[in-house]
Amino acid sequence: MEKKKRPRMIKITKTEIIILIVVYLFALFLWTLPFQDQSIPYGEGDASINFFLSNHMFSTDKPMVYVPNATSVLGISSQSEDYAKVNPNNYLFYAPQFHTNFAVMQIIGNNAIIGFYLYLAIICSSIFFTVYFLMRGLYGPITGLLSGFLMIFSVRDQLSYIWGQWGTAFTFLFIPLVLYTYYKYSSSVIEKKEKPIYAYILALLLVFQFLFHPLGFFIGGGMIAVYTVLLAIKEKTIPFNYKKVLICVLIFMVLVPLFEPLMIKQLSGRLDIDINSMQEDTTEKAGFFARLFGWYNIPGGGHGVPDFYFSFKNIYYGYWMLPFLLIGIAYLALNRTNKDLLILSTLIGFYIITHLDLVGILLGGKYPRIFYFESIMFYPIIALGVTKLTSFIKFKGNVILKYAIIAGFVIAVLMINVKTSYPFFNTAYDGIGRLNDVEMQGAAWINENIPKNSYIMLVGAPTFKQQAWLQAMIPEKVIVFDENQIVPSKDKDLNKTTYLIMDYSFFYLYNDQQGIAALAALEQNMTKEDNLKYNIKEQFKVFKLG
Amino acid sequence: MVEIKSKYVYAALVLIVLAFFFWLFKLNGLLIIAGIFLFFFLPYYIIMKNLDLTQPEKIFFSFFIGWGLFPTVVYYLAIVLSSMKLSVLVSFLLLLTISLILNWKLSKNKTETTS
Repeated sequence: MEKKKRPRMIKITKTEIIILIVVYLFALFLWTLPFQDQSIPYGEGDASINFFLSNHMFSTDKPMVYVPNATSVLGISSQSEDYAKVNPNNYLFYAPQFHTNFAVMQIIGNNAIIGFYLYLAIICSSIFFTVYFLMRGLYGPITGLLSGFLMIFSVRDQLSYIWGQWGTAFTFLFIPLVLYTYYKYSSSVIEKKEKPIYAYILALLLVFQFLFHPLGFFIGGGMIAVYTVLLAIKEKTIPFNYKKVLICVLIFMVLVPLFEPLMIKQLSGRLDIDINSMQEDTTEKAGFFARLFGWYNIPGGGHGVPDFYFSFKNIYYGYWMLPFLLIGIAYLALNRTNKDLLILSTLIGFYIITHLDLVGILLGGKYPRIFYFESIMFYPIIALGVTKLTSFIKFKGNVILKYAIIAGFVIAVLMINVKTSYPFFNTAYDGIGRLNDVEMQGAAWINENIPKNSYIMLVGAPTFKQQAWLQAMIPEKVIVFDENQIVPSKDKDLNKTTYLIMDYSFFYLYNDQQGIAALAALEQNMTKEDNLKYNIKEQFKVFKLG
Repeated sequence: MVEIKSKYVYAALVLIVLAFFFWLFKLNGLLIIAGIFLFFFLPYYIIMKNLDLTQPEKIFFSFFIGWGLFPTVVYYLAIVLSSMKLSVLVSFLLLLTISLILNWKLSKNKTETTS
């Protein structure tokens, strides 16, 4: 075992910086594959809503205080019944920092799609940097670089980034920084050389983490709480100064409402709904011991999250990294220095949070999504298992063996993980997964030629993705559609429509002659030829109604 | 072995990064990476470099505080100015000015303490 010593930040070398930049550019190349060749937005429902809100600010050059009247795309959330209760004034329902950043990048990049998605890719892939920062600070450059490198291939992170759970992805980035800052502060208190600067920076980081998404704040808070208990037991002292903690709480309590005054009321309403939903017994009963000793044993299944999300094999490219994870855990448990306790606390804290049902606290339907945060613990511990494997054995060629194991592991990652990640990014939302070129051209024409705030009925586009993304691309107009219907019939704004889109492009893509004929018949009934304003390849037509 | 001077290595790395963004996203890519550096990093680093922190800490804390602070200022200023574009520019200049003044004060204090 290694000598127990407090880590000092090793000076960063040129070689380390070069490796850091080269590996990150490789990561960014992979993560930007979905929009390198086709400048067309993509993602699930959340993604289209977030794009819409940001694109509205970019398009109008105005900050968004109230949610615009594009209720069809915004009202699709399963929480829509709660929406009126939570947000009666119809204020922007996120802290403004989230969408403002996207809009700023659209403005500065002078491009709605590249500005949005490149910023998104840079921020989401920055998990490489924050995990590197934490692990480098604790265990040195090699463990730091290896941990960051593994995060590039984290399936959980890749999925959230591609699907559109970006609030979660953003709040996630802060966790390594929050853990590091608290570790540095508590260490300084234990060493009786208190450095309050870490406490104040921690308070600021927690403010912004909370604003981007409160979930990460609570998960990180749970981990810190466990670490504090373990540290207090080990060091037989309270690892913080009450006065400084009070100042930090004050900073947090003042800045959060100051930075999101319009959202504070809805925030408490949202928390109320979330807490109430936790009380509903949405989870099925699982055996007590199965839950107690199970990590993924989710009562009630995935609740909208695919089953493969709860399988180590599917999320970590098979079981080949499992031995390293176990070695890493063994290293932490045997060594138990303060930094080891910090990393162990992430596991213990996460286990407690995901097993609260064992002590009668119901977790609600959405809690399996918390597993998104698992990779931030597993990958650094896997990296630790790789770099510390030789610390269990003492012999002459120890150092050579250590580097041979690291090199072998990196090669294996490149051969196994890259092989899966590359096609995942390269084919993300291909085909009907996003708007087609004709629809993009049509949206550009509408933006330039149809008056703002017009209501436009959309006929033809049969998938919700097409409908929602078309709305997101023309943020200053209101698209009237019914989810997954070819002809809208229920939308409350149906009688306000002054324009009509006949979108044949989906049927042309599949060469569906029956669909084309059916749509043509509809067109004949609903429109007059002389009201045709725009027609591209007979696939996307815009008519003036009345 | 001939040691290559750090400044040449860092200059080469900056060029590689810029070339990467230009290669993939042309001028839009360059503007975005420049925007991220200027808006989310520079003003806060100017202050942070005076604090008793390690270099990586200064870099990481600057970015993550700037990433939250910059849009806050932009958003509320944009409500007053009624323009996002104008607000981006004014916010940047405002934050940069504040950081330069604070930097000047902090470095002046440091010099007085050491002398």
